[in-house]
Amino acid sequence: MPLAEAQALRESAAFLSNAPDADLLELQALACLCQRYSPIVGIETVCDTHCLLLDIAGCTHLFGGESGLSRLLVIDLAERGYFAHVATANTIGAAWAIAKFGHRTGSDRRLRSLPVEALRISDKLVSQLREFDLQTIGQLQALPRDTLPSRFGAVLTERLDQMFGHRPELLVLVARPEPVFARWDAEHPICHPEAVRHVVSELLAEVVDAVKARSEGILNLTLSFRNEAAQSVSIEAGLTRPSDSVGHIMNLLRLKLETQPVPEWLISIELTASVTAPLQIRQHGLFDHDGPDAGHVGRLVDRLSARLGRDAVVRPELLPEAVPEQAVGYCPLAESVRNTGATDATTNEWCIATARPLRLLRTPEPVSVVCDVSNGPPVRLHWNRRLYLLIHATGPERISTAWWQETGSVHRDYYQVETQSGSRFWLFRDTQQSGSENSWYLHGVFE
Amino acid sequence: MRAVHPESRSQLIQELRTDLRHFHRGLQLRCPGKPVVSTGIQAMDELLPDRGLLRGSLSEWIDSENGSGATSLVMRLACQTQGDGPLVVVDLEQTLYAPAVHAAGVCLDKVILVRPSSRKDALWAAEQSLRCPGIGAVVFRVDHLKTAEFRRLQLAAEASTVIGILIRPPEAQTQSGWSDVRLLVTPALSPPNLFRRRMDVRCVYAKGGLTDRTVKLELCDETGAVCLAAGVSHPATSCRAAET
Repeated sequence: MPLAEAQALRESAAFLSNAPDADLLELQALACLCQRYSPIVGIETVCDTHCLLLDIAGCTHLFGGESGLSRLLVIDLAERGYFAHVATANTIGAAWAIAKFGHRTGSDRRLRSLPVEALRISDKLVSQLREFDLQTIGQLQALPRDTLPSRFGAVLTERLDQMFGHRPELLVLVARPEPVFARWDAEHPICHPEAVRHVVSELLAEVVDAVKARSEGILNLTLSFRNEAAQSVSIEAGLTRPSDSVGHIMNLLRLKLETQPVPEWLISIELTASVTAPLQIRQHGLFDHDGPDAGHVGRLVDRLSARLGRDAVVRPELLPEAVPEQAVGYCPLAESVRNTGATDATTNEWCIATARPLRLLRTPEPVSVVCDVSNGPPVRLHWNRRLYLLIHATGPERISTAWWQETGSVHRDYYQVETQSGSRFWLFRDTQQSGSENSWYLHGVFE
Repeated sequence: MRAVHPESRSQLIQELRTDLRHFHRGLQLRCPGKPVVSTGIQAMDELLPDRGLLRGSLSEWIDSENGSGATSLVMRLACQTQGDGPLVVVDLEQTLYAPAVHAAGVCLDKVILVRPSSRKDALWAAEQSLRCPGIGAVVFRVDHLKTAEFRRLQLAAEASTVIGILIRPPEAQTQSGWSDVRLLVTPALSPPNLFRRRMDVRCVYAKGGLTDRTVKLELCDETGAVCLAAGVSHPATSCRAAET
């Protein structure tokens, strides 16, 4: 279904771009979670379907049998927000087919009644089989076995054999990544910032070498200091993309060290690569050297986030809220780039039909206003020790919210006013305080 | 002394001006490869010495008073640079309102909004962004700039191909600066329309270009369009202004 059609069907739905790398990282995290049920956990990614494989031989008695293990696994994954289909069978192929196409038992008779898609074969091969009116696995098995490879390729008989246990299938283990860290213990305590930076750079080079050996890059670092009084301080540094550049990461750590206090007389410094991920390698085209360099922008976001904090480097998002100050959300750019893998992942489709000021005061400022008529538009404004004569006033634009809103109810009449010199302001009268002298507020300036 | 015919005199002045401009350009030692980004408004392009915003340069937009419309104009021009890279907005006051930015034609998905907590961090963030090659433009609203700080920003812009746009308060008119262009935005009386407003943009200083020229622009908040204001003023507005 095209995206436009889906958006037309359900306007309120959230549409996110496909991020296969992020999906794989999450699946690996789930695989690590499942290692508490079995030491051998693998990932199956055939036919665009992500699946976790657990070899539970010898483990079931610890969880009250196969059904008990399955139940616990479903609950565990549900707590992380996933609805899981779990199947237990003698072979990987049978378990995959049952989990995907739902039969209560994995007997050979049941498996034969499953559709041919349950064999973990490509869509192209499935359509070929459909052309010959081969719908189920039983119909395939009824055919002479010798003729199948020449007609449909060797993969079909291989999948059939794997499903019924006539051919072994290798389960590729997802190894739990060993934490990469480097530690320095002092013979004599140090406190000079230059000495600290030197030690950190040495530790970083060691950590980056270890991470590089796994063909990975660093996404998050934790730098821990301990002084003579056994006080510990930890500093976190994050990156938008996995990196193995010592210079870039050291630059981020230097920015962190400049802004965050480090205890004196250090006796121990430890640097841990808390999150690592495969390096994203992109082959450049012959003629795309003149395009904007996303790597430079990513590194800039890293540096800005390291010194100013993640909440200070953001992407504004429009929200469908009536109250002006609630109509904007801020998404930390470091996190959004990491989750989506791109800086232009979301779209701000929401827009407001009425003119809004470019500068919205953080809190509305009370102003004194003169009106010609009661509850009418203002004609004079006194703000910032200056009197403005107003020649235009358009409005009111009434913004009113219900009492059950979390932030309380809002009842405002907004006016866009123009001064004698041409400057424009955005004022509102709080109708809840109507009649009192302090019912007018300046909320924005049309800069 | 030989008498000069008025026509040939004006021609001579034009030639001398052209020579002077070339002489200035030679002194500036500008990188010839740096492209110019059009503002999208012909009159505005003609006002600027390079017929647009020169990459790797700083321009100052001075608000003559609160609510004059300089930021609105800058946002409409800055969106022209988003094709070359994201737009960085350093918002020290943390008052920039995203719905209005969106309405000005800026694609919010390609905006990096920096909200520093101190002036020192804001200057640092602006300098870092100006030095980054993948950025389209940097918009920074700043009140007072010391000479050294200004020079640092200018050198940072020159080191890359980023367009630096500084929005300054009225007091900046009396301060010296290192920008390539200095423009003064003054509000003008607008037609009685909710969405339309006018402003005078005067080129106060231009390195190697003609100064003291003014264009009157009309800005439509509804469509985001900026165009030359019509020469005839609205009679009702003029009358009301005269009465007050």
